[in-house]
Amino acid sequence: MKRIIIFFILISVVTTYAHNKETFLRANNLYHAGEYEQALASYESMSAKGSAVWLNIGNCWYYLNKYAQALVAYKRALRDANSIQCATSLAYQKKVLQQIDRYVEPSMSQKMYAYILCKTAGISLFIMQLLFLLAWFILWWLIMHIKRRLHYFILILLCAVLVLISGVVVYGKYKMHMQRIAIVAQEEVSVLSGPDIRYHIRGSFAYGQEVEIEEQKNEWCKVRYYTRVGWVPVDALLPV
Amino acid sequence: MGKNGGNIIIALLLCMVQHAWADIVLRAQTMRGQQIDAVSIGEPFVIEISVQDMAVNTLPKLYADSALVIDRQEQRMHITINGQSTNRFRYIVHMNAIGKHTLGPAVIEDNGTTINSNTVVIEVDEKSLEDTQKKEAFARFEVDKERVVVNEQINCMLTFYYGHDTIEPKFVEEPRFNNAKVIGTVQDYTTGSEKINGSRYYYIRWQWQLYPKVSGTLIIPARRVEYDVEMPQGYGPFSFFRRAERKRIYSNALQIEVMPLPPHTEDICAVGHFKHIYAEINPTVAKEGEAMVLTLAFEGSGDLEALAMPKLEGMPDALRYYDSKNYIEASNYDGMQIKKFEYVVQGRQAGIWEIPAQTYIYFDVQSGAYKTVHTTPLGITILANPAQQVAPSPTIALEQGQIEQELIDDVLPIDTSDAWYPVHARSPLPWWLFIMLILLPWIYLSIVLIRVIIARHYAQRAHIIRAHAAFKTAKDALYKAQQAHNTAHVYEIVIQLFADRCMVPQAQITQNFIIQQLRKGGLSAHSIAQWDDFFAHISMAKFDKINRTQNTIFGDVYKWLILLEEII
Repeated sequence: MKRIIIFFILISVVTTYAHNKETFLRANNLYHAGEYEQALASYESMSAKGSAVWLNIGNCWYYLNKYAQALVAYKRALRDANSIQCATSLAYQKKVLQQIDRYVEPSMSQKMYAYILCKTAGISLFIMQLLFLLAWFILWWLIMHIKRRLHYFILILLCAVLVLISGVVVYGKYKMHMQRIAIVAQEEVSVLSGPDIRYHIRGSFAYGQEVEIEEQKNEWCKVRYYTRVGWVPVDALLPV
Repeated sequence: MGKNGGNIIIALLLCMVQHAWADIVLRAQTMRGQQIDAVSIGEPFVIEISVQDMAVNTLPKLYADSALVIDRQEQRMHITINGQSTNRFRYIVHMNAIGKHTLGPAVIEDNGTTINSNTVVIEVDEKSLEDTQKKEAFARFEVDKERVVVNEQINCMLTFYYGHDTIEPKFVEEPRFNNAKVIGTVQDYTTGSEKINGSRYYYIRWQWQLYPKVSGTLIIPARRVEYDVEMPQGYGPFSFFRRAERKRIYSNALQIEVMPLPPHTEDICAVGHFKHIYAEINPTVAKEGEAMVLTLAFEGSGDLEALAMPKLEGMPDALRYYDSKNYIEASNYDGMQIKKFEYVVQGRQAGIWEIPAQTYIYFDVQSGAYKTVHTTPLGITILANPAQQVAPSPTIALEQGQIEQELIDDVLPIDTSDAWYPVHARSPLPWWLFIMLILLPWIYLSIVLIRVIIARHYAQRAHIIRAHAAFKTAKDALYKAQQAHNTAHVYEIVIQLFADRCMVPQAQITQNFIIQQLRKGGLSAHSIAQWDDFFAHISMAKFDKINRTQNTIFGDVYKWLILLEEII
């Protein structure tokens, strides 16, 4: 009996894998033929989607002029992307934002942050945490046993740089894992001070705006964009 | 001659280029830098001459009619920003005749070259008697229309008028509405001066474009403007600091009637007034698979930002197109702009094809009716199989290369090589654990620091603590000695007691020292004699090993301890 169950599980796993792979290849062909809607439907029908699939879904949405959906797909692609996919996703996001006139040239620090995240995209958060802790403990050990020798200072400097870079990566990956991000999918969505239309309007979010979801109550989401916090209807947002 | 001649030519060229770049600008402005075109008679103002990218060895000559009186010339300033040098000459002047006067040009002569500046016309009026009565500042909000349709452009203007140069606006409340789109920022403004009710005011003017999104009454509430008024300088020790008083005023409020668009069945692309809507394609001849750029342009006024990328209708199957980019350009017509949409068109099949006329309907705000416009059809030629074609000329190849590059940039390649399945990474350390591990060195350091602090504290107060606990320590030690039948230890206990109690090292405790302490404590001579006797006994018990019953020694010590507790 046990053998039969294992056999059926194996068969279903292999079949699902083969089906998904075939769907992926078929969707790629549809995309190349310019049949974006059908390609999108095929990609969406896949039961497991990796970074490559999300990137392709984003492209389909882009050509269907659904830019908010494209942004969501590109952001989902970042979750388990490798370095190249990460760089591609960021470049495509830039293109979409330019298309909807919402692109803001990043500062030098933001560019460096994105560069570091891209370069370390293939490394898991767990490994980065270990690397950070290792560098952190070595740095402390060196500081506590410091001697007036040049190589000590160089080692301390190297460890500090490593701590800084791995800290930035851990923070970035943590944000990607923990933050609930959403994209505004409607034009000029009013931001209210409470979860009901009776509350007064604080401002508005433009189409394609990235916001952080803090809380959800029924049909309303409490969202944040830097210091601006307010409530918007759930159907105006596309969660990443 | 060869090398020197070359150097001379380069120097001459540099001089020519320098003069070619040189620029001289004349401005009339208030003492605080506000540009003006009118002054009162006798009122001091500033003429500033800026000379860019030119070494100035002589002062510029300022030509003006006789009404101009130069009161003084301020120090010349030389500023260099990003390699561009600017020389500024400031003159404090006033006008002594009413009417319109032309100031300038300012002329600079250098190495036989003469460069003239612009001229400025300034209106001089009589100082009004009302000047002393005029308002300090006020704000006025104006619109160009009070009755519009939905999405029609309304030009709004907020003007802050102020009567004195010592006033400086600090904050302007921008118009923001939920039911209307606003274009424009407070960073864009114009300045000048204007005569109102016989009094001249300086002004700062901000302009916005408003597009109401829903019909009904659009109320523009009063806008707030905050400004600083510079206080007169005092004579106190800190009088060199400028002081200013912050004040607040509100503009008038306005009401605009927004009407709905007349009923229509077709989709409309915009509301506004359009001069031209046209299409063009470049190049008109291309090979199969090569890219051509089709541009659709809408020239007119209205909310061009909201104009969405139109779909190309009726495109032949042999052509394929992709949306590329859109942008807004300035127009030659006043108050108008051009919005251009670019599409990348690719031929899939050789032949002569036509991109059909595109039809757009918009609501024309000038005529108050819907208008339908058509672009002209565009003919293009697609050449078959590029591999068999004759190599194109370098110019065409370059152009096509550029377009192909653009196509590569525009068409988003999909990811076909990477794994389509999700890659499951090992789950990270729980965050509480990670934070704890980060804090571990801090916790260790904190413990070490606390220990050091406590040790230092005890080290500083050890003698006091020992002094307080001296009798208790002595009694405890005595009890232990008694239990161990160790009479020799009594001497040490007594010496330690005095050392602790008097807070001195053991080495300083002598018989004389002890007697001195006992005398200080008010012990009688008889008792001191008894102490001598007792001390001799315990000394002997320590050093001479004289037998004496333990009970006697320990009994004596306890008695003396009780007595000593009262006196030292």
